[in-house]
Amino acid sequence: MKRHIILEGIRGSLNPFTTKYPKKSYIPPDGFRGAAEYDAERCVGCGACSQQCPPGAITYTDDEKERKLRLSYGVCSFCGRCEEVCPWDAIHLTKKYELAVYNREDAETGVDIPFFQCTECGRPFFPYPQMKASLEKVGETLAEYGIKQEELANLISLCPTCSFTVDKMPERRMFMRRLVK
Amino acid sequence: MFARKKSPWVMHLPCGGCNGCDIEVVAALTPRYDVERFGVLQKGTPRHADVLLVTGVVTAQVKERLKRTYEMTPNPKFVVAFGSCAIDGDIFRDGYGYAGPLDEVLPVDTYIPGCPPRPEALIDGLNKLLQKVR
Ligand code: SF4
Ligand code: SF4
Repeated sequence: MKRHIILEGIRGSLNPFTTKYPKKSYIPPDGFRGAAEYDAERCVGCGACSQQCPPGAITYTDDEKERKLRLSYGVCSFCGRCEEVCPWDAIHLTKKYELAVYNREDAETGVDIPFFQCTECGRPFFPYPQMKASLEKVGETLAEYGIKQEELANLISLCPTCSFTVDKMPERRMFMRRLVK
Repeated sequence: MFARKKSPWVMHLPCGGCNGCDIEVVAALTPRYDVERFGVLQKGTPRHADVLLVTGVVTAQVKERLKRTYEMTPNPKFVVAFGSCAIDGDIFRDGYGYAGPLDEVLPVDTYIPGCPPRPEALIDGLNKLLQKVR
């Protein structure tokens, strides 16, 4: 039980106990929560991490073309909640801890997620990877209802302004009715 | 100036944090990390210090005292924000006592993010600060 403590003590008295840190890099043990980093390949831009982050370190801004997710290390409390909550396994806490910077703005990471453009008016309105990933996810369930993936894809590729019009509404209603068994 | 490059004397200035960072600063002084091998010496008074090592959030209470301490420090002086709290408030940023990030009160030279940062991160941060001084 206490053997590792005694061993550590003996080892410490035989060799210098001080770390060689700046000369030899130090790798933290497993489970260490260091700087969080995005996996740009997997992130779909849903923003779940930004909603769940306790201090609000993750923010996103939507501009014309893309959604910009930004994680500020100066606010992050390195709790790991974002990693836990991400449905797409796209953000991970790495073992990086040498984060010292000269400007507060430099201590950040982030990804830019492109938007999907409305097929009718061409307005970008929804993160494209999220749309693709969600369609794949519901594909099997849709098949149970006898609905093809393309039908749903056509329906959701219109921006809110274009889809809630007088001529589009009956089509949407009919679609919703098919989902009720 | 030479003395500051080779042996920066540090004053540890805990503000309104949770003391996690303070413990890491103290850990950096223990034989395990031994920052004294770089000539970093901890001082109990700002009049002897070159570097102010601020940990914890800047609270309404501590804001004026922080300014006073900064004015007591002889020139040239440097400020290091240690930990996420000092940099941007961390989880306390919506609290009633929070008085803004440290760099709105003092000019900060180096920021060390972490909650708390490892003692290694402190060594790394001081290293980067000295590189800037040079
Ligand atoms: S996919 Fe994960 S990392 Fe990307 S925005 Fe959503 S929750 Fe955050
Ligand atoms: S580790 Fe915690 S505080 Fe840091 S970005 Fe993730 S959820 Fe936010």
